[in-house]
Amino acid sequence: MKVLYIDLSKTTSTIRFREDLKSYLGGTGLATALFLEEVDLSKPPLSEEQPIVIAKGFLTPYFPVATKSVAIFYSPLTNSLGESHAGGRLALAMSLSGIDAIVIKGKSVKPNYLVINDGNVVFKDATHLKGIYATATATYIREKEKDAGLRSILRIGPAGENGAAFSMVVVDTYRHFGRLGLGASFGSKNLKAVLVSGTGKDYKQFSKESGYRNFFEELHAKATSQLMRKYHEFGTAVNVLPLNELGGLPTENLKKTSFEYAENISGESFAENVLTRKFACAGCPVGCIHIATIRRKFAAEEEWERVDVSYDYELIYSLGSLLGIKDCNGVLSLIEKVEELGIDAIYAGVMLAWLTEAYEKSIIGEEELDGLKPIFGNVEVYKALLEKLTYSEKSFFQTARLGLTALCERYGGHDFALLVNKNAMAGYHTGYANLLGQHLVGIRNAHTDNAGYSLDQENKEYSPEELIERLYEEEVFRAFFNCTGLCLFVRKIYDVDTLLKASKMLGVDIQGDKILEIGEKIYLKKLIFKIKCGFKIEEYVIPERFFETAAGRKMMSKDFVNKAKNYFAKKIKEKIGEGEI
Amino acid sequence: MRKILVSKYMLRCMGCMSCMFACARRVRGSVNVLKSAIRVRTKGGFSSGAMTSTHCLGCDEPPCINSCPKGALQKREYGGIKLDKALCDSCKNCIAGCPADAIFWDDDANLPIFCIHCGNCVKFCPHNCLLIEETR
Repeated sequence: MKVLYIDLSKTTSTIRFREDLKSYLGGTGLATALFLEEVDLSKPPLSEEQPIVIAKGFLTPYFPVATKSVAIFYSPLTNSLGESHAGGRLALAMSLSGIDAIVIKGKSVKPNYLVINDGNVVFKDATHLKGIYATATATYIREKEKDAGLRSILRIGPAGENGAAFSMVVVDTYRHFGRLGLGASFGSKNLKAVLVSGTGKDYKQFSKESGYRNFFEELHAKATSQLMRKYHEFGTAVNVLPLNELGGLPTENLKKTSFEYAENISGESFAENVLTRKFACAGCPVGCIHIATIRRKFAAEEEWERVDVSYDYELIYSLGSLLGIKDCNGVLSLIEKVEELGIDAIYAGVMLAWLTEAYEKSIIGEEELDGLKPIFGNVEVYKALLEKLTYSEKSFFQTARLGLTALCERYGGHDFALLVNKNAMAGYHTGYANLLGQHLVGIRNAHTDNAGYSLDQENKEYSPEELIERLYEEEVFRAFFNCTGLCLFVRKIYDVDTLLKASKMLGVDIQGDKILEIGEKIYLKKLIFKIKCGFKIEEYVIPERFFETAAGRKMMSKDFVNKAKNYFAKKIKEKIGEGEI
Repeated sequence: MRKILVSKYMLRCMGCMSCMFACARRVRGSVNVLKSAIRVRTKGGFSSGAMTSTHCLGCDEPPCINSCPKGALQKREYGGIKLDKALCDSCKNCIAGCPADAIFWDDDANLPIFCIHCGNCVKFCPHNCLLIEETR
């Protein structure tokens, strides 16, 4: 385990070989272990001592679709464990650079960006990039750093610089470390961007007899087969219509779960009207990144501009149905805005939806909103609000930058704030499995959607206890899976036997029955930290709105949820015991 | 008759690098994409919306041959270049001698990387951007 430690205060870096952490494998396991060594719970999340850890998975770059890197940090949004996964080229670039993980601590005196090549770090002045959009920042760095070869560029926008707790880090233009405020963590360290590259000199070699080549190529063939077609064809956006049909598409701040304009913003509609190309993460032949082009007239006399943005299901939910946006171009304009400012797209939607309803209910007024009047469906007012959320010095927006929880503490309105442990809900309202998966059992924090919605669609009557067990096992499995660096979309290609075979080829000899054991060790480590940060299973309150609106056309009962909560609390107590917390 | 690699449909390229992985894996026996004889990159970032590929164009009269002071390079019958490793003294003149910037360097072997127009990359491109084309 080769770990690059970077101290921004001292502008120093060192490589440490952490063979003692081998059992954490990589990805989420390694990042969690490194984070827990460094984090200081007596200090706030944005104090300079706090670490940002980024780890690649142990299957990158050896097998197809091992494209994800994991960031773990102390979230300024939830004051708890921050975890976020991103694709793009970062995992490959880290592998070329010969590093399994990066630990960044301290604070640069001036705005700064890092150039990491083959594990060596150069600290570069970024004063000239202060306030520059996340989109343009990459262009400047790309032009300046000419000789970097195959590289990945992480960067923040003004929202991260201004400490917005829901700001994100853009990875290679179309992928993101989203959700839990990694952008603000970067900003608090005066860290504008990180460029990673290398020459791959530490790579493992395989003999002809190892069978590596054939095995790789079998997996490549599966990844380009019908198995993965839905991700490539319409992409995740294909979920819009089915979810709308079953009454699970959160609409207008979850007052409804079906949207009369769903067809306009469906994956099919995006493909027909605005899709112009597809991209892939490096090492993934699936290619699920769908790029749409906005063609926009900016002046009379036929003056046009064009911009490309990527879209996915979750963004169509958060910046589409949740805000009552009725067409593709409206959704795309809002995606463009959050990409520029460096705001998490899902949180942005949940925040704007709350602002709209709070304004409808006269909890807040034009005075607070600086003259803006949010109405569901109005793209322009939402764009203006996103600007205010990033820049405005008015007291209301300063509070808003701390997150929706802070706004609710000041103005009320908890009941209709679509928050899950202070994070924004994922784009499904399908029933108990989704609800419990997000609020109680889910541990991957940014990734609240642990396929609970699939269980809900099975149309089986699970008891609260059965549901907790199913969700727990899934989360524990994912805790292992996220160590590999594999994208969760290929979890059907990489079944247990395949995972074991791939691991063995890399010298990581895992017994099949140990997978859940390893996953559970990581799961519980994260949960213990979350509990130390104040998470109380028995006392956890789910906002009313989740019960007021039918989920998958059924009303949910609090009694069921309470039974599940108590069962989960008891289960966890048995697992970890009082002494460990 | 020449049979050479042509990246004809780069407008369709997704940047997955399956071609680079395939070349490295099948021709060089390595997982390192930088050992590939084809390089796929963005034309000025992903936001430019365009990908480009760099590889040997299989010139009729390859200028790289004359740039080699040791005579280590020969024209292959069907296009492209054959390197005589024994003659190469790693001077890197061939890199400057290629007008397409399509000769890369293998740091481990300390030798240039030449495309042999074998078509292994073609087989792994999920969008059929690449092909082996017969030309006169």
